[in-house]
Amino acid sequence: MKIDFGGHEFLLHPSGVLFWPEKSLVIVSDLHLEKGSHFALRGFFLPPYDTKETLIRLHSVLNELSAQKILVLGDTFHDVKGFFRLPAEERKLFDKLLRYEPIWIKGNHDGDFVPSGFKAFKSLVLGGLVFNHEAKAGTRLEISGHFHPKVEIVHKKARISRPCFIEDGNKMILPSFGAYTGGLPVTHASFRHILQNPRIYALGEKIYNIQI
Amino acid sequence: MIDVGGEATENKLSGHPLTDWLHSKGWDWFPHQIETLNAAMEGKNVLLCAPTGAGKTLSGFLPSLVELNAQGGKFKGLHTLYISPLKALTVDVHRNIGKPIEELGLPITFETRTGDTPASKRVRQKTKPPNMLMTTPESLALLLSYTNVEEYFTNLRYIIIDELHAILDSKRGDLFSLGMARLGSLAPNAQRIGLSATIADPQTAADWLSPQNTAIVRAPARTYPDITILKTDERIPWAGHMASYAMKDVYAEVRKNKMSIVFVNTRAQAELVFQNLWKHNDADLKIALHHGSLERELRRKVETMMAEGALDCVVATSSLDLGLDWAEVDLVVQIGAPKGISRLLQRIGRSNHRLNEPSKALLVPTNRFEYLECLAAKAGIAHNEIDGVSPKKGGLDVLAQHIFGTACAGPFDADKLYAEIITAWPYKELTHVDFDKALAFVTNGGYSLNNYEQFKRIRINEEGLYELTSPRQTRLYRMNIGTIVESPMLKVKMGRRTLGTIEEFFINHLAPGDTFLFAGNVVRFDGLHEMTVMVSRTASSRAKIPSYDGGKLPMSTHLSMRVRQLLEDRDEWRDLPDNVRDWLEHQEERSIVPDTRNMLVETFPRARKHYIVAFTFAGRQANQTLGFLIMRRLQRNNAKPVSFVATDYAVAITTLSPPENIEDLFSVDLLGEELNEWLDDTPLIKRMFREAAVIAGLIERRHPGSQKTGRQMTFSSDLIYDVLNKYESDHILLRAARQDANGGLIDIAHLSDLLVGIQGKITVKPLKKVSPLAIPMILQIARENLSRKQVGEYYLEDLEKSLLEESGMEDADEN
Repeated sequence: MKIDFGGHEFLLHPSGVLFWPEKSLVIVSDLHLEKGSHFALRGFFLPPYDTKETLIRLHSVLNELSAQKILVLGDTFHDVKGFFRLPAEERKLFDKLLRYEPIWIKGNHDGDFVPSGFKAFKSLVLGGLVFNHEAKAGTRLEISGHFHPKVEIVHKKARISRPCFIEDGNKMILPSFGAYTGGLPVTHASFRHILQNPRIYALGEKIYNIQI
Repeated sequence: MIDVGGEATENKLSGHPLTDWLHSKGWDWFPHQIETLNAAMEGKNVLLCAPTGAGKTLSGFLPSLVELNAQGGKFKGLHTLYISPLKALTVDVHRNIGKPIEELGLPITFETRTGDTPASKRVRQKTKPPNMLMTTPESLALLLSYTNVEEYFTNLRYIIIDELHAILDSKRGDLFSLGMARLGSLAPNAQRIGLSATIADPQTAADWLSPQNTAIVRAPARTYPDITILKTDERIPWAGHMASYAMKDVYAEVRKNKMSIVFVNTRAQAELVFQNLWKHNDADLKIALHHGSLERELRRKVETMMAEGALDCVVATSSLDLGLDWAEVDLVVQIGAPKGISRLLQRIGRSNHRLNEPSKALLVPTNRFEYLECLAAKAGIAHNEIDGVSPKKGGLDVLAQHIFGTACAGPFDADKLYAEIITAWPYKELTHVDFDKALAFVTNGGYSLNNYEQFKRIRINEEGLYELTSPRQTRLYRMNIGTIVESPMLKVKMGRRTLGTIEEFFINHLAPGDTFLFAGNVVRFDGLHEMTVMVSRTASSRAKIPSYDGGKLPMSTHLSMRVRQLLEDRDEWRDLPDNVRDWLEHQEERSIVPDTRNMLVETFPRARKHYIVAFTFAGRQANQTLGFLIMRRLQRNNAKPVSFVATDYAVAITTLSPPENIEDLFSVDLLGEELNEWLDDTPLIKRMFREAAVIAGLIERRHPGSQKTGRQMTFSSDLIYDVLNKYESDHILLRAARQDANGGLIDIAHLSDLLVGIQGKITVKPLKKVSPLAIPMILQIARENLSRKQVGEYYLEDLEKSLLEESGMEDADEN
């Protein structure tokens, strides 16, 4: 689904990435790579397939959109040491991102770590739009992630829960992309403090514009 | 059975202080108590089947009391372990067994140990155990994980397991059976005494208790209980489960008796029945409420008041089912169908705790089918047709937990542990391969992609034994012990007062301002604050009813057969109330009445849709699964299925196109590919996976009150399920989840029996209009497919009226 944000045209992709056709840029947030092994460190042996699943999905979207560039919007790894736990195959998949002139926005899980080949920023302004990991009070025309927005709908007694984009013309928050990332319902107070009368775009086979 | 051997017994107990004590109370030994003692003295394990009120607990403890008394206080350490599925029961038993010990000054120490026991006492119990310890399966697992297990249990003589019938088909049963297998190695001389309600096949329970040398002792059935079905001038409703029509009559009965328990099947019923009884409470009777999601303090208060005889009536779910001893209860009321004959007997047993007097029970059917079921249960009891027990195959998730616990107690040899585990009944068919997989899971997750080599929890040491990689691992184990995984529960608070807990999914349906019944009051939902549900008082007397999922019980096979016999045998119809008999007679006229041999399937059009109603009598779970599978098949055949509804008796499916080849819909191959495809995609399998993942220790148990706040950075088990199913669909935890889904909730065994049994015996009856027997199903569809706001009583009444007209029953139902 195409929307206008800050005078630019964007594509909300059903996979959960934001595509900026003008710049051929894919923006993706909260991959939380190696979350599985992070828990394994503490003795909870989550299936070790999350990084592979996340990166394969990401590469397939990059191909589908014929994107030239990528911007990761923070919390790319679940913890500071995540990168060093990448198994060989996953490491190859990760390094393939270097073909896309990757931009790294620092998230709260990332600390000071930046993988080589990425241009890192705490905050970045691009075409008049601000890119932050976590939305900042007072910042205008800002695109961020961090909160993992999801929408919960009860329809005909079936409860559906989907990750979603949430946007009010001034701020946009991206869904989390990582395979093991849960979500925070958009009804949560955190969102009320950031956005006013937001529009919700739920992920599915296509994007669903939902009123809440 | 064992020969009572009168003389030997006389010698053992005659002149014994316990006998004098009993006589001083005006009681005497029951034969089954003496039999139990004799069998134990001969070195046998004992399974005692006895009804409530037959001195079962004392029987179980008798060998221990006699032995310990004979030793005159010289016995050191733990002699007897008493395990009960209920914490409250351990306290109760502690009190009851304490009476003779204290009054006679017997040289025996005895204590309880549960999650409620103060930490200091638990520490002391670890080093200096009492002679008799009363505890739960979970606390036993914990004791078995301490490094001093060998000396702790070395002198153990008896393991008493109470309410055996209630535990052996559950995961707690799996856990306990593994604990018993462990004790079998640690204390080979310990004998097992199982206490059970009266069951149909005691041999199965005896085999579960121990692989060999088990004597079965049966107490005589107590006097035939005095069971009546509520007589009322009101009309019995077509559908629904709330029995509101009967509350005036129920109140009148409650008023006639000194102390009544009103049993219901679900918490939603409990809330509504409680409220309705109060509406009629002109005489200001003291009526209380007891169900599992009320705050523990509130429940305790009700229990104490009951014990003191300070209440006139308690409305309760199965939270009061198990054998607690109350003050004199005169009347037991069962609202809704009893679902099983043994369950009904157990509930009735709460009344009139004396063996030689009949208990009094009143059954209150909530709809017409249930009337048949109540009648069937009554007949079943008269014919002594009690339900059997069906122990389940042990869960692989519980096995993983047990292996981890064993490692916490000290290094173990894998082959020896395997040999020990297969002595536990639920695991007797466990293969070495599956054992190894569970072991690999505990070690580092057991994934085919061996990524977690460096994070191992256990490893093989130089002597070839498995041991913890670090003693710190024990913390992980102890945080996660047990097999009860609640669906996420939220605290309900009014101001600062905690009222209890409620399922998260229920709250997800609510908007601020909605009202619901909780803890006996209509409360207003104000909102969620962090993880707490905030409510306030409201003047409104109407409420959305909590749609608690808990407590919906499947109907037992015995009972469903009885219902079918009742339908088949026209002589039995004489006892039916007029409106129920008219209903069946109209069915006979306009369609066919189901019998015991064939399965009736009716088809008819209605309001531009088509209906298929199959009277399977297979139970709600099996019918629900059948409904899903037939929907899939209809979809494939382009019959445009819309929805279905399942009850214990039938499944009704709605389609847009007229369905064809009805018989083929019920072919046996439904259970092949369609089942697996469907199952992998259901919320059910995901719920089962979450449970298995928590029990096996894959994901952290959510402890009440310690839940995450604000940002939800935890993962959902659904996401893990999806990834694991994609990359390693035969992983041990997925197999555990599928095993659970197949076994309990979707009831594949039952369904498979049904499908095989009905081949060539399907009677398809095409009708022009809805049949009288199908009316409750159509009403049920209306209830389940409309949102609550739409389901006004008006709408339902209107629908009912038009259904009656269609089926030609409107005149008949005027009474």
